[in-house]
Amino acid sequence: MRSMSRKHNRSLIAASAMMGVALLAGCSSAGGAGSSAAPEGESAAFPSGDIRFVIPYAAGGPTDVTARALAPCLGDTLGTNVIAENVTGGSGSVGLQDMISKPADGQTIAIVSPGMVALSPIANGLDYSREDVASIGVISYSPMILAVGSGSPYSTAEEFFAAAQEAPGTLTVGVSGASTPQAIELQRLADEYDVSVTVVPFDGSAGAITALLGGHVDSVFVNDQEDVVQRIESGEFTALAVSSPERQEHLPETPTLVELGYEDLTLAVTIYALAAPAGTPEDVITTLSDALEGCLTDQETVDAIGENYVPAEYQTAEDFDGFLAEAEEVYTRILGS
Amino acid sequence: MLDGLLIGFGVALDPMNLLYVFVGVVVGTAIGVLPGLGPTATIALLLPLTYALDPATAIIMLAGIYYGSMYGGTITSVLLRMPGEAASVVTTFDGYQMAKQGRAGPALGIAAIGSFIGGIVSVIGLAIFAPILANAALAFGPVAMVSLMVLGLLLVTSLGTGSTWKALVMAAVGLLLATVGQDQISGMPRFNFGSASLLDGFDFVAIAMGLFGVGEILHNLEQGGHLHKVAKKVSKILPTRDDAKHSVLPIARGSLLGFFIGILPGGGGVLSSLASYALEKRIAKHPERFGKGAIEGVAGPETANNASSTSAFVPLLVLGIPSNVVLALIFGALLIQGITPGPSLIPQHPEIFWGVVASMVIGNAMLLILNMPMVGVFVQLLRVPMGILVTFAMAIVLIGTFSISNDPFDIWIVLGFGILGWLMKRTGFDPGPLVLAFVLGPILEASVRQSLLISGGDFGVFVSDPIAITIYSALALGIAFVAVRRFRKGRPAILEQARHIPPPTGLLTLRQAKRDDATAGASAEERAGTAEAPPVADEVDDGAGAEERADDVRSK
Repeated sequence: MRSMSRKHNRSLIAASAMMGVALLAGCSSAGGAGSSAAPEGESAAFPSGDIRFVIPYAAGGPTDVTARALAPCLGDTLGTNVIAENVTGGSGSVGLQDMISKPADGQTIAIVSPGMVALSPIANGLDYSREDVASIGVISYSPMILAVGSGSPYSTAEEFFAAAQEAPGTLTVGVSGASTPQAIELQRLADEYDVSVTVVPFDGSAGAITALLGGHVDSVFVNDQEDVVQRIESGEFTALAVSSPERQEHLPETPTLVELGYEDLTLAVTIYALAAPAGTPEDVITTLSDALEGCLTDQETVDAIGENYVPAEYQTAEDFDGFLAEAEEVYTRILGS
Repeated sequence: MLDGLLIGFGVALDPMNLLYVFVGVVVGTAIGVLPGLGPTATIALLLPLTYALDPATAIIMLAGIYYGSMYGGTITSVLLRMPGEAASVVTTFDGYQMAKQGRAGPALGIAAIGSFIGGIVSVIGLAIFAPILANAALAFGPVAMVSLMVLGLLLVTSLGTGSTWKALVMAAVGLLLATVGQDQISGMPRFNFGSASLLDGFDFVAIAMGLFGVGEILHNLEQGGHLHKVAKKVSKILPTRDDAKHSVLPIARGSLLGFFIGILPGGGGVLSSLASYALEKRIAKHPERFGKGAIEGVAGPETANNASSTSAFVPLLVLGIPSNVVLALIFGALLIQGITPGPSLIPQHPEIFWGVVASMVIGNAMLLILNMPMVGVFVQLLRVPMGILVTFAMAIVLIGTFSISNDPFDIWIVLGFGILGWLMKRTGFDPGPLVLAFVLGPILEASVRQSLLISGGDFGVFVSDPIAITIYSALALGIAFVAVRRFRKGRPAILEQARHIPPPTGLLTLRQAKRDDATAGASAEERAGTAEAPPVADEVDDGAGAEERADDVRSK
């Protein structure tokens, strides 16, 4: 019942967003003229009117759910409407480029991930980079879990990796997509640690999980998300390792890859962050960051995003940029461009 | 199963879903009546609107349009001998004759009642069979999926209407188009020419709306003219006791026949109504009455038609194989929602499967109630001038396309494919197999490559799975059977008849097909007559040629 009403809300939101966008299109020329009159470097009053919130993935996916969970609270905090809009395509790059192309005044923001900002331009040869994006702050953080089915001969990560080392390429690992941070992380596992598994990409983590349930792959390396955690708790899956630098609070028994001796394998995580076009004035970024920080203490917003995945301590733009820099360095090396 | 149906009615009775099933069946009936805009074009046009809906609601509405259009098609078949969509062609044989004898009312009445019963029987069958199949869901790994996709592709191309070779060419084009965009396994961009918009490949909605929506619109504009002024008074819808007595058994047989034919991947729609007609004629005591207004010839096929269009949801929702183009579009609508129809759909999204099933019961009841008194109103729709219809449709296409991902690039795609669709229509290529292959292609490719990854490059993996072996054996047997039969006594009658039925895009295509036939085989006199025949309106009255052909089809 609850989920039904939420779905209804979503369609209502979508409808009102469409109307909002139409209105916005009508007003944008007037708004643009107004802001260009303001002196360079000094931001006019922010926010001046509705804020357009670009979601670079389709409605209903994890990116969309996170963004829409956040949007109402951001709007309330900033005293304006935050209008979420899905601009999809190109593994998130179409929406990201849309955001980058807009005036750097904070009136257009986007939900971004390292995959979109650091990996996609390198993997797909697109003409933007993380320099074009100004980070605001981290929304949520979810590492990968390496898991096997209940009938698996491996009950610990040590056994699993030992088997992989003994017979390279025979163990299969289902992942949610080809050029995802997690697929590349498994590539690094082979390159840097000589543990070679066969990566089998599926369309989304649901496909990988189903394949593991049906015994068609030996393991999965998928996001720490509620359905996976439930399967671990019910004993259907055994979690061998997580990819975060520290253990996850709700999986205290599961070691990290770092503990297991794979010291720099910490990039296989999904981080959602808020971002604006590069060149957005510092005070506008600060205003947005403060609003985000506040929203991440709002119980309703946190519940909607998933309590386990909102960092206990607010992660700032600097934290996210640090992660991006490391990721970009690694991806450039691996994908060689 | 009872639990499932309870969930289903919980979903279907949600006020929002009730509204959408109503919208679906009314729109469906309306477009079934209107020639030119078949269910395919309409669903293609409405795809972007489903985007903001809950997945179950979206499918409930689209399914409503689909089976609603079957009812609508019956109305014009009976009154005007103008099948709004292909599956109703059979109804024209006896239905129109009944109308000529002043018995249009009972013909429509029995069609509505038969459709209702057929729909309900099918829903019950769906509720029993689908979960049994779905219990095997987890056994469908990549290897079994490969065999399923091969089966799906072969069936949709071989059972399609028109030339097999043209269908294969179209399927190949569809597979090629599906390779554009990021490689699913290596992540490398393919054929995108540096464009970020093409990185995710062609948008399914843009292709479908272009080929079916814009293509159809252009084609209609080219044909010009406007529709009918005909609107006969229909009175006394309720069949007489005698009619009822004659119809009971055909309806019962039609329900079962329709259900089982619909379940075959690739078997829905026109095949079931033809099979039912053939069956009724064969076992009738007085087969000579057929084609002269026998009510059995309306009751049986109409029942079978609706039963099969319902059971066609089994292969779609349980195996991920769309039986025809309409179901391919519904497949696409589910993909847009982030749900891949296939063996895991029922376990993962029971609310969608059972909600759609339960909504069909409600929708069929609505149609029965709507149809009996409202026939006259729907017929009035034929007065809408083509110009207005086309303008609205075009506006919906362009707004809808843009709204998919707010990317203007998609508008060029839709217009490009619109022109392609129009050209294909002119040259006799059916866009159906193209769209079906475009939908199945990525799954086929991913499954093949996943299988090879898992096996370490050993091709033996494709025959290592019991499900795959079973499917391939059945396929081989089927092909052998057809080949032998064809070798010994020509093409099987049913398939041969199906081949004469134009694709479900309305009357204008019917005329096209008729013209093709005429040029191909018939006498020079008839050819001249048809070629010069001015638009639609006269066509209906120019009886002889068409009737001759109808007889021709039946006797084969």
